[in-house]
Amino acid sequence: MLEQIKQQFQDATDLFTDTLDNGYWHMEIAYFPALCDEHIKDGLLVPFSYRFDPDEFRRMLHANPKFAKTDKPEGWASLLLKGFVLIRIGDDCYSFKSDRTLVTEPDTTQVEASLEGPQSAFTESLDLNLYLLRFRYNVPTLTVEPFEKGNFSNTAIQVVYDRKLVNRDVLELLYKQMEKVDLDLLLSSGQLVKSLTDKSHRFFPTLLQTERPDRVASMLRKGKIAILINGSRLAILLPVRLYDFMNAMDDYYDSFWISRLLATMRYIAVFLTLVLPAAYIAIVSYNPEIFRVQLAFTIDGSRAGVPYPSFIEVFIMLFMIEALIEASIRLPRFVGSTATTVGGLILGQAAQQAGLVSSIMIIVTSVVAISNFVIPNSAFSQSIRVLKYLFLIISMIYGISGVAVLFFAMIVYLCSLRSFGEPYFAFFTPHQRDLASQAPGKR
Amino acid sequence: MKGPRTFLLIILISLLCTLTGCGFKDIDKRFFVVAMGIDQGSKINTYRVTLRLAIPSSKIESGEAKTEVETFEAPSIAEAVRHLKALVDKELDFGHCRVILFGKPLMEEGVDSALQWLSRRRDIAMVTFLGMAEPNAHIVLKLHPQSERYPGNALFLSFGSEGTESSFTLTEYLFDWARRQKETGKDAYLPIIRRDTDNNSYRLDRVAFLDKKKLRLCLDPAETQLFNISAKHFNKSFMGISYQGTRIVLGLTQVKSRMSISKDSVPVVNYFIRATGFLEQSPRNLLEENPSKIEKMLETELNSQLQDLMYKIRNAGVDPYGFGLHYLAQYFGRAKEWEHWKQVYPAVTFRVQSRIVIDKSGLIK
Repeated sequence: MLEQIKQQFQDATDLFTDTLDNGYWHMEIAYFPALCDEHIKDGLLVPFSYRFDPDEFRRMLHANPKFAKTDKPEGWASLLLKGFVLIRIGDDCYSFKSDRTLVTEPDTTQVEASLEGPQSAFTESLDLNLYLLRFRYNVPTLTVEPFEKGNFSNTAIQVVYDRKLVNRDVLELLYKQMEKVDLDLLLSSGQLVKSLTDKSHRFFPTLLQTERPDRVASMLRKGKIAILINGSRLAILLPVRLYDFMNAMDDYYDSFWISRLLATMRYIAVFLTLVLPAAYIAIVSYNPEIFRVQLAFTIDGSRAGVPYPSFIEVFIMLFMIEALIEASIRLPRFVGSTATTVGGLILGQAAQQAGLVSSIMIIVTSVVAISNFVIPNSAFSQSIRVLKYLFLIISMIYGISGVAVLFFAMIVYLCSLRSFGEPYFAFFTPHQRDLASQAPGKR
Repeated sequence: MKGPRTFLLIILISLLCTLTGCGFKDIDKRFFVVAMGIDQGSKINTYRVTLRLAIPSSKIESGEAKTEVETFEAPSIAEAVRHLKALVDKELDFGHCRVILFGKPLMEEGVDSALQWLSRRRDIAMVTFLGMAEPNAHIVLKLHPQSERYPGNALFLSFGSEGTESSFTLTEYLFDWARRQKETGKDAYLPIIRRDTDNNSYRLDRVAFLDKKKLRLCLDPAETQLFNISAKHFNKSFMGISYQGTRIVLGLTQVKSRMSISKDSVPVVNYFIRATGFLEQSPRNLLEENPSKIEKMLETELNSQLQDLMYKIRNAGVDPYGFGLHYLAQYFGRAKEWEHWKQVYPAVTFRVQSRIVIDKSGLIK
């Protein structure tokens, strides 16, 4: 066995191979010390040094589920790389699971914070993630199917669903797409999302990524499918609707009226961040009669010193705010607050006083930025961020009617989108009880 | 496959770029017309167009609003407006023109061509207020009220229900006026706007009636209010009568009316009006005596006043109430019925039956 392994890992100096001898019999052993944890001592080395009868040792191997018989030499390399210890006693080869797990505690939510909901988030360890999920969705029908993707990374993936509720058509479609996935390195859930969607140039995300186990649990209850990826903090959910992206977990936990109010506010915010800069250009430069008279005169007065046409003014301010957002993500935390201070206070105020932009534009810009952050999902928020510019360009050329037509076109586009065969823009989905009975070919 | 598609896309996009909206012009390059006046020119068949233009400022303070008044005479309104563009430095924008005034001399001549221009321009909003200026529009537009916060706001506020709501002020919109000008059996009215005697505000307490062509009748303020109550159901108005040496004032809160016209050879118009209100001013303990007696007194007063007003309007040959339209609607009227109505209208009789309910006494301490 050792010869074969050494052949495969020729220059891997961190591979440990040896033939151990306890005075009565021999055992060949091979493992990566970096990938294995301390369990190897208690589970393997200590018993080996005290069991002088090979049969007694073999009984222990059969009794412990961590040991498995592995007679096929072609599987050895991948087992070693996954943190297994390979041993050979006589003619039989065994693997001992002793992979090191660094993460032992759930993460705290970082992107999808919640006020009253649970604070634990998925981690980069698949096992812990599965624990977090099983702990919340505690039924025997929860099915976990393992996959492995990435030619070089061999990343473990688990497809999780409730087999009573899941839509079989969607599942078939997912398997078909999974077969097509051809990646060298699968490092993040985002890569899988990209390769799972047919057309990568979509304006809106059709797969939902989340770090919250409670969100995944609630979606599993709705018959959706979750994909967990080893080494990624985010789980992928499918099929999803636009509504799911706009839904914060707090909506489940808050009282009826406040959650409805907040949800409505969120949709208004999306509308504002999408349309407001475009509407500013269209109204200021094409149809000032839409404003009330007072506002028209105030904007007129404040724009009097601005040397450039309205769209350049908008681009200046939007560039500034986008740069500010980008900078505060990339910068280390300590410097981050400096960036916001410099950007927000000094640039905003100074730009207006210098006569580069009107004071109304400052308000428009801040409304756009703040409203954009209201969107609970970052992927969706980014797609809205991009789409805003399309509205801007159209409003530059066609004015308010262009904005209206583009908004209509966007609705049409949303209606045409499908997330794994399910309509993306559907407001109402069949009720849960119906969904379970509808699922064709239920097991 | 990919080549032709991109090619097609490029063509489509370049085609799109040739289409543009309705003219890119920044707000600070526009001159907002806040009010427009149309007068008779000094020569025959000319119009004198006066525009009140807003000079915007970011600071808003009472009396600080600046406006510029430009005026020009031309054979038609359209030409005058086009020529006025040569007198200003920015593009004229009628989008915020909320008030259009016609001079009284012009009204006496007829305003048919003015209406044409107003309704054909797309940038003149149909919710623009119309009024008749006395003695002419130019003089009224020149006035600069002290209370004006931003250009033209005193004018907007006096007309609409946004600011003051007076029962003496009638509001007429362009769309309603255009409809009334076209409608068979219903005639237009215009509020009359004058300078106040102190030259610091506008005075809108009278109304002018027109037939399809020109000015026919002007009412005094009391009649104007009566018309406002009965025809427009304006419910923030009042009625006053003398009672035992004191004055009783009834503030109206709700007015309803309906009419029916008999189909006799000379039709009789029965006009029913029901008004609810509370006592704004009355002697003490008045209601304890006999409220229905006061109601009766108010009713007879209203009946006679309203009948007088209707006869006055009838005698002037106008029909702002729309009796003719109602007649045609009630009896499936066609051209023959309309001819008949036109003949007998100067002779129709009016019977007004009113019902007045004193709802509340007002707060009593």
